[in-house]
Amino acid sequence: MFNLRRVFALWAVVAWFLGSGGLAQAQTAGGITVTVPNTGVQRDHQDYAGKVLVTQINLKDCINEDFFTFTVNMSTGLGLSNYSLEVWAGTGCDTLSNRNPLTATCWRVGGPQTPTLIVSGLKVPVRTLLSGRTGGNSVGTGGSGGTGGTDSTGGTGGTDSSGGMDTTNAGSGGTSGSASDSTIPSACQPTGSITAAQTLALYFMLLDTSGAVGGQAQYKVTFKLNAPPPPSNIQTGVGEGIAPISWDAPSGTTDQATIDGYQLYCDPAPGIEGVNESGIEWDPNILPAACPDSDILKAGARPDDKYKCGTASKTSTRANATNLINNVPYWVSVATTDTYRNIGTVAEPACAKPQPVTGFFEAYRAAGGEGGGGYCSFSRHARPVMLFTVLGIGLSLVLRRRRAT
Amino acid sequence: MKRLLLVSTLGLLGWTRVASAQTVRGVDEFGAYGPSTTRDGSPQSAAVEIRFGAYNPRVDNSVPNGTPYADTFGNKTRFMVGLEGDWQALRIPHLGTLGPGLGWGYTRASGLARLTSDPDQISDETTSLTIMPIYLVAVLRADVFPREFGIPIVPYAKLGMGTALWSSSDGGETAHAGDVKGTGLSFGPQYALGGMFLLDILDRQTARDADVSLGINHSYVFGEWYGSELDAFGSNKRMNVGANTWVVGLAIEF
Repeated sequence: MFNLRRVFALWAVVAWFLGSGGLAQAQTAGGITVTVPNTGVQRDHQDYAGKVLVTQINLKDCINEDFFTFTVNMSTGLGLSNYSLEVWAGTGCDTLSNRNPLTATCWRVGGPQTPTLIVSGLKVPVRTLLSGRTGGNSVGTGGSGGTGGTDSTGGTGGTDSSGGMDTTNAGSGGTSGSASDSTIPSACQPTGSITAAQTLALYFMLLDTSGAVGGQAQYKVTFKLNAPPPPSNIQTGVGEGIAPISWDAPSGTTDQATIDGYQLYCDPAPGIEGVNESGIEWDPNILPAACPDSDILKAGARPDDKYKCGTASKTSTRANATNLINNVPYWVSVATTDTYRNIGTVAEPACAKPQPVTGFFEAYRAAGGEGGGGYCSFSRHARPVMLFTVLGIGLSLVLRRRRAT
Repeated sequence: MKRLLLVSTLGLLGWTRVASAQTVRGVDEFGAYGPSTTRDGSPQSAAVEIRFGAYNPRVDNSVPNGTPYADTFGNKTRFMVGLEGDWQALRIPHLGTLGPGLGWGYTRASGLARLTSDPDQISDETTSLTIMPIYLVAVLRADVFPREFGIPIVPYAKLGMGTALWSSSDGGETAHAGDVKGTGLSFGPQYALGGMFLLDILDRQTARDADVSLGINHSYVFGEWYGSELDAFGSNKRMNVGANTWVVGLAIEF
């Protein structure tokens, strides 16, 4: 069943798999091998760096203008002077026509740069990388408009095939897809209502003056800019310094597959600082009648991080908003988070009014119970007669056993 | 009376002998080898129990006023799961085994806290009490009945010391009453009386196979009346999280 030939074959497959994992795909065309070692890929300020793959891009990475820094290796230094190093993104970028402004499926994201045996510090901004994808921005057509994206206000123009960002010919915006969030830069707008992660290939190419490829390597990144839609039916309850919240999970199968958790938001922000900053009028001894209108927590909004007041796992449909102040009226709401750590828009908020409650331990102490204070607290009032009796019997057994052996 | 108890105890200890003898036995591809087994099968030195039972802690007995446990969690029966391991250190001829046993259990009660401003109304905040009893007991299992009379019943008794780690939480966080943290440790005596039904008689061949291949001498279902007074021997400084209750479970000896 397990003969040596099969074992060696298995090891060969494993060795090949492990070996191929260390380098991005390297190809030889025109005699020079170009490689992008995985260890030579850095991110400047990736969201949740170290907790997600370096190849992953989320909405915050784009908004915060994160960028990749690559190290590119050439197999030889001979003949490099005939080429320039360029980085293109898209589909089939090693074909000249796909880089042609009229028929482009690619857009330039890095270079041109004079190649050396080892090129380090090659920067590719995330926004540039995302700007040419199908959507609110054009694909290398000089900013002639999107192809059905989400930007209802008009794209900012794509990266044309000659490499420059076209800022004069703004795209006309997509004709389909959902309305965009005006707070998000157009280059970062999600593509329609797609919530699944998408893959984008980067082509590191040595190009001569005629556009012929003298060597190339590919490196694939994935991006996901849309968190699933928010949950529905937000309900709040009463707690002390907390607001128990419940909700109904989004029902779409695709949405559920990419949900990684839930983010709770509160207005005013948690803590006494949040209450003071909000300017809300409240009396610590009087339960408020209602919540005043909020400009921050509205359905479809993306509140600032300072309004975060709790999290829940992806299987939860309830959680507590914490660090709230009793007798302060709070608007609370919930957004989904996804596997790329995107946070979606919030659901229709609900009003919560935390107030003092009496839990079991408080009730126990109020009834005269004196227990508690930690696992290591000891009393000098115990009567240890039984304790010593039991320990004595145990000791006798042990001694007896020793003598027997 | 004390002298009588002492003499009886010493007499019992003097009558005992070491439980298991050194034997070279085993199983290979040709079957079992080594000294022939007696009707007891392979050497036996330990027992393990998986336990399940009701658990209603006597918290309200340790407070001078009111019934905070019942008021918060109601009178609904709560349950406990647990494990116990016994070392059958001594075999007492014509009686059974005696040795120490170490047990662990887990139970949790939860309910909704009441509004401080109106205690008749409940809030939406969860409040809970989690108890983890741990005990060390001397265990006497009188297996003379199945061994010498063919009756598949093994009465047993346990006596020792128990302790319990407990913690209370409000809204998912550790509870506090003023500056006092809602966690503690209670201790006191622990005792149990029970009976085990020998399952081997239902399928003797399987029982023998289990002994030969796995070293499991016997398996049982058991029922037990169990009591613990975890009040630090009458001190009201500890929350009494002990209980008088019943336990059922499965046990094996090996």
